[in-house]
Amino acid sequence: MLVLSRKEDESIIINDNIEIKIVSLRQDQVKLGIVAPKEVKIYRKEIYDEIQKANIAAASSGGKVDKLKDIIISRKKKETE
Amino acid sequence: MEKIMTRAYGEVEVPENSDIVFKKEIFGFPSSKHYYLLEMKDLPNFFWLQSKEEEDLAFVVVDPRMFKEDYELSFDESDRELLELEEGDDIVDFVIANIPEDPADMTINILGPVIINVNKRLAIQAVSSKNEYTTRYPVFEKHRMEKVV
Repeated sequence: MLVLSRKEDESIIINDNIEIKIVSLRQDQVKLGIVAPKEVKIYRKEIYDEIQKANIAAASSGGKVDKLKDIIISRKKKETE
Repeated sequence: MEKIMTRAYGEVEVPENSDIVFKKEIFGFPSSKHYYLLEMKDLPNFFWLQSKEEEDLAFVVVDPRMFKEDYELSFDESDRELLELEEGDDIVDFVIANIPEDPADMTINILGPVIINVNKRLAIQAVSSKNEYTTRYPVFEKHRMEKVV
């Protein structure tokens, strides 16, 4: 991992067209400003982690699909009543 | 036809070369790139996304609009490129369902939709740009509330 030191208001440039600027520094939090082309995806890493966690949970679920059928049928009945 | 091994049904027959190639992996499962989409035998509009590489790996996928009428699929230019989408190509999108011990607590992951270019048999798991979308959208919320009342 490349580690660079930056001060407030200083930036780094990635790939000639993505700028990441240190907007403000506080005790335990850094505010970043990002200027990037529209097609560049920027997400907090937690989003990826969350989707990955949900996928892993989903992959080990699904054993009770048969029971699900009963629930859906009874729900449909309720709707038509 | 060719025979494949599935988690839900054991050995089944599918048309030859009917697998879908994931250009971007299903997050957390980098070693599976090929999947078969199998309609559930007795549950209409529910599908198994069955890994070709790993017999025990399969996801239940559904059309999110079945459970969330105002669902909106959003994906961007780079997703479009990965899917090699061209004019005339059709896409179909699903979300991965989590069906726990009590299936009344089923949730769907509307933050990470699965999008398939039907014509080219290419797929990705995208990240929705809708910030309010969650990985655990409960599908039977109404159902549960009725029970409480």
